[in-house]
Amino acid sequence: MMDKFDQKLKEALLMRDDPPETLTNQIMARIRVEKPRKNPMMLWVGIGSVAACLLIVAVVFGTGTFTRPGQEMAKQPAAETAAYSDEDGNLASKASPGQALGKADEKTAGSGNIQDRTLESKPPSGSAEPGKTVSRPATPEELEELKKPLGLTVDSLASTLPRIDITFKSTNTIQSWTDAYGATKPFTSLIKTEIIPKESKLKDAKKTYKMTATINTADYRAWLESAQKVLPGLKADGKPPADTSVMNVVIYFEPK
Amino acid sequence: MKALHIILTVEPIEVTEIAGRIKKGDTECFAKIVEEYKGFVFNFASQLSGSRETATDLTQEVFLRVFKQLGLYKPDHPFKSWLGRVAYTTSLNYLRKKRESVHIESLAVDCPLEVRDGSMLTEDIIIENMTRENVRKAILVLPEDLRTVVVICHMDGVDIADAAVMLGVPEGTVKSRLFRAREELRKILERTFGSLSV
Repeated sequence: MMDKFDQKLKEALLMRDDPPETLTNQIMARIRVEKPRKNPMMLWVGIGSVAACLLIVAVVFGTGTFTRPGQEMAKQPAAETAAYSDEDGNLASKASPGQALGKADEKTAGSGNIQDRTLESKPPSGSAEPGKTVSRPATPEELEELKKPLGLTVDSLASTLPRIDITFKSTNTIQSWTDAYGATKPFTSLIKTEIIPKESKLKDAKKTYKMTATINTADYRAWLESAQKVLPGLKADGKPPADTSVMNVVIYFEPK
Repeated sequence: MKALHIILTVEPIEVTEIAGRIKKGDTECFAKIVEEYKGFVFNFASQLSGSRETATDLTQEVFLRVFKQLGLYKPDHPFKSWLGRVAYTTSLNYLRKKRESVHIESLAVDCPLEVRDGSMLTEDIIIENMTRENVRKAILVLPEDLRTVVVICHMDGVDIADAAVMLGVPEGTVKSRLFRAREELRKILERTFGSLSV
C-alpha cells in the first residue's frame, strides 16, 4: 500500500502550478519601487544601531548607574533613559533604535518601582515625579549586565563537528532575530531560523528559544569575530568543519 | 555535506555577475533570474500555502529578498539551493504572520467522493481519493516542519541532499521528517476517507 501511496503522493505533488504571466513584471515593478528607499533605510538603521551601542557603553562607563537587579525589563528603560532622558529626567518609553530590546513598558517596569532607580541624568524639573532620580553606584553585577548588549549571556559553548551549540540566556524579549543582531550582523549568512516550541512567539520572554543558524564555513571566522562583539565570552572550542560547505549553529535562549 | 547536483539554468558565476551589475545600478538584469526561477519559487509557495494569491505575494517577497541579498550568494553553491533556502525562510515567516491554516473538514466537503461497493478496502478508497487537490489540502494540515520537507523533497530536480541544504538540517533529519510526514498524511487521508468505507 505504501508504494501506491507514495506513487500517488508524488503524482499529486509533481504537478506544477504555473505562475501568472505578469508575475515577472510585478516583481520587477516592486524592485524598482523598493530600490531607491532601500539603501538610505539600511544606512540609517546601521548608524542608529551603532550610535545606540556607543551610547550604552558611554552610560555604563560614564555614569556607573543601573537599575535594581531582578527587574529584567527595567534594565532596558534605565539604559535607554540614561541615554534618552529628556531635560526633566522623565523616563523614555521608546526603545532605542537598532536594539532588540523589549519595549520599555511602564507597566512592567513600574512593578519594580523603576522610579526609585538609578538615573544619573539631569535633576528633574518641577514637573518630574518625586523620587525619580536617586543616584547610587551600580553594583559590579549590574555593571556586568550592562556591558552585555541585548542582555545576553553565554552560558556554555560546545562544538561538535559539524555543529556548534551555543547556549544563551536572554533577559530581554527579542523582537526578531534580525533586530537582535542587526547592529553587528554576526549572522550575515543566516539561512534558517526555527523557534522551538513552534508556537513560541519571539516576544514571549518566558519561553525557551532555540535557533538553528546555518552559516557558510568560509564565513566562519568572520562570523565568530562579529558574534563575539555581541556576545562577549563567546568561544569556539572546536575547529570549523574542513570540507563541509555549511555548518549548523544551534542556539538556545532561556530567559532568566 | 554531499555536493549538490541540481541542474542549473542560471550558472552560479552568472548570478555573481548579475549581482555585480545590480550594484552598479543595472536593476533590470535581475529579471533574468526572475524569469528562470519564478516557476520554481511559485510552485513551492503554492504547495506550501495552498493559495495562488498567497503564492503570488510570497513569490514577490522571495524575489525581493533575493534581490536585496544577492550579494551574499557564494558561487561555490548551486544557486537553486541558495534560492530554495531563501524561499523557505521567507515563506515560513510570511505564513506565520498570516497564520494560514486549513481545517481537515474542508478536505471531505470539497471531495466529490463516491463510495464504491461494500467490498472496497479502506486503503483503496484512500488511494482513489488522493487527487491532487486532496493531497494538497492534506499537506496544509501538516505541521510546518513536515509540510515544508514534503513540498521541498517533491520539487523538480531536488533530492534529499539538496533538501538538506535548503532546510539547513542533516540528510538524516530530512529523511526522518519525510517519513513522519508520509505517515501523518496517510493518517489524515485515512481519517477523512477511511471512515467512508462500508
